[in-house]
Amino acid sequence: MSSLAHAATAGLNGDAKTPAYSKILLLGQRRSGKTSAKETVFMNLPPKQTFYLESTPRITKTRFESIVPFELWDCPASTSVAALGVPLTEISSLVYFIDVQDTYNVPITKFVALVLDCLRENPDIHFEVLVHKAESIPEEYRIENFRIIQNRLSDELEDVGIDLREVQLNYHLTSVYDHSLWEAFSHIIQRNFGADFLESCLNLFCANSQIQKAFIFDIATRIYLATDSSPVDPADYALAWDYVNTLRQLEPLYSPKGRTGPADAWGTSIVRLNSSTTSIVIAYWQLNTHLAVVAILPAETYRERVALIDYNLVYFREGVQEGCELLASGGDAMRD
Amino acid sequence: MGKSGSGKTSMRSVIFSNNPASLTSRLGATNDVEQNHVRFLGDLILNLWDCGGQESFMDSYISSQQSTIFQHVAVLIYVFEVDSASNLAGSAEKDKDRERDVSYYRSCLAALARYSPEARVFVLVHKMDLVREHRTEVFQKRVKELERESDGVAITTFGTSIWDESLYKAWSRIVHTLIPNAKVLAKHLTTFAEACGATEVVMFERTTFLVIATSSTSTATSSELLASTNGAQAAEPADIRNSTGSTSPNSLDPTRYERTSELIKAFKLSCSRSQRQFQATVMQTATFTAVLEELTRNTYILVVVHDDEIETDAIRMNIIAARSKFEQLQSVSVTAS
Ligand SMILES: Nc1nc2c(ncn2[C@@H]2O[C@H](COP(=O)(O)OP(=O)(O)OP(=O)(O)O)[C@@H](O)[C@H]2O)c(=O)[nH]1
Ligand SMILES: Nc1nc2c(ncn2[C@@H]2O[C@H](COP(=O)(O)OP(=O)(O)O)[C@@H](O)[C@H]2O)c(=O)[nH]1
Ligand SMILES: [Mg+2]
Repeated sequence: MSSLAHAATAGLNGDAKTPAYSKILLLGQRRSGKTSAKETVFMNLPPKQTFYLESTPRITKTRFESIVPFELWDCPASTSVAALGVPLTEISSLVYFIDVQDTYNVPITKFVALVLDCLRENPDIHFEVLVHKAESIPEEYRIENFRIIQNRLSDELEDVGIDLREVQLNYHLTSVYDHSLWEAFSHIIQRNFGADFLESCLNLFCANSQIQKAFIFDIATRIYLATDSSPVDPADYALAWDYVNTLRQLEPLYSPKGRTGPADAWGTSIVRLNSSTTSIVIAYWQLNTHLAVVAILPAETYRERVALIDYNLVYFREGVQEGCELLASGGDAMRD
Repeated sequence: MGKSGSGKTSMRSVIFSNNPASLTSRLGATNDVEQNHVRFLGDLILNLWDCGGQESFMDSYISSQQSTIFQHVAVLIYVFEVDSASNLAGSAEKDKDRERDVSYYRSCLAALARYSPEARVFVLVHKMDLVREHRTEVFQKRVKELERESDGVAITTFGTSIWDESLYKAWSRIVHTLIPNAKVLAKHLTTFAEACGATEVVMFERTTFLVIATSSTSTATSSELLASTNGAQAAEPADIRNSTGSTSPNSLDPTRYERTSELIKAFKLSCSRSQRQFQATVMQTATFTAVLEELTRNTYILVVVHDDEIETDAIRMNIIAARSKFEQLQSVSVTAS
């Protein structure tokens, strides 16, 4: 299956052919926001309720069945590389949280030590630094603090002899209260699997339907798994995410208790937005149980071509469904 | 009215100025009375008086300023901060605070009885989000105390928080009492719902997205909207379908109106952050179709249908056809005041 959010059923399908779970570590100081991120992005916790989370005493592993299955390891601040108990070659990403309100010295020193330890065994590991709780400081300082942390970190990594051109290191400015955290995890997850076939499907669909921009979202987590190859305008992404987020909260309000519709009645939603110059629509089309495409296009194009778009959508949906099935059964078939 | 820091200005800015809840922590204390005219339903103007709650102000409200403050009041909203668990322990200091709070409240009620005896009184037990456990019990206990302190004045109480939909529920009910023709609107919405084959139809005010009226096929009709006594959630019967075999609104989430207000308002805010304006949306899921469109210059209408035979285009045609009728009703309802 191609969903990210199946923690509950994870790990049930026998040991004989256990898929290799790529491991994603969440590390950082106490209360830097690791558990909050995991719970809100992957387990549906409303952001406000992260306030009540208790600190995590030991490594907590959660499995997700994705296009590539993966495990999230929520690690207490004291975790050392040696304490992980697995070879570092099994770790695909190390996500490091730095609280933007905190003093930066200790977290930076610890991160540099971690990077050194990791690189010794696995130079391919992805390092993802989340400068977190961004919304807690005024807007005018956010970018500046973000830049200060990036510069400090690069300097210190170079000081211990690391060649930055040879490590995979990315920075993200995030908060549980908006799309930024989901955007960061979208990139983190995307780096762990080839979404090439989804991207090709999207390119074709967009070109044939005159769609400006489209994203494929995992419905349960609101992470996007792919987008067409045109450049991403952050405002477009934010709107698409906000719309998905709104829809998923609206839907249960008007769904009758205890009633389900036909299994293949895929959800469709359209919103029309105006600006001083143009009207656009954002369309949300469910593709299978787990995925939905969110497309942005001029309202006029949509009005004129709705029949054609609906027609293209049928083939697009089939393409994505087949691709996902192939991946689930064999995997590598889709790699080329 | 209410003690300083109880959250009056915060709720006003969330409901009427489209501020996100997270920015309210930057508000300063209100000095004296801040007056705001909010054009609500076109010609209906709400004159909001946000009365700073520091003691020196409170003292003058109930003494020298009494006749100014309490004359021509349609609605008094008194805001109490809930006693969260940590507060409950009750040091002597806290107890005194609370007594003072209640004594101001009683003075206000007395002044109101003198100058605006017809005014309705809403009491909000605010910052409910701070209560982690036994919310309903904590709320009900407080309500009992406050009812006892009200000397027989009928009050309507709500537990509220700027962090969730409860604030929209309370304010929808408050504003509802100020709309002169609310019952007529509800009746026409019901007719409209029947014409559309809709399970229910909800009318929202454009800028606040507060609920103005709902079709009376739904449970929270004007009768409930107008109900006095407390705002705790009554358990609703869980019958899935009514006798005609269509979906009964009873089987839907009882918090749906205020949640919808909150969600659409948040989405509108995100749109305006990207310099866009929310216009309309259509949503089709496995079990329902919902259309949210402009109805009149000042209102939006939400039509919810649980019948996949009914096309969204048909619903939209109906909305277009109904526009002038509701435009007319609305102007009647407002001038009647
Ligand atoms: N946790 C929580 N805090 C709230 C809530 N509503 C308001 N606050 C906070 O309470 C503080 C005081 O809010 P104000 O709205 O300025 O209080 P006020 O009643 O207008 O105070 P005065 O103007 O002095 O009378 C702010 O920091 C708000 O962020 C709520 O529902 N929950
Ligand atoms: N302001 C703000 N607080 C956050 C954010 N993310 C997490 N927190 C708070 O940080 C605290 C610690 O979070 P937690 O996830 O338990 O940290 P952990 O120890 O790293 O797992 C909690 O009180 C969260 O509410 C954020 O984006 N913004
Ligand atoms: Mg104030």
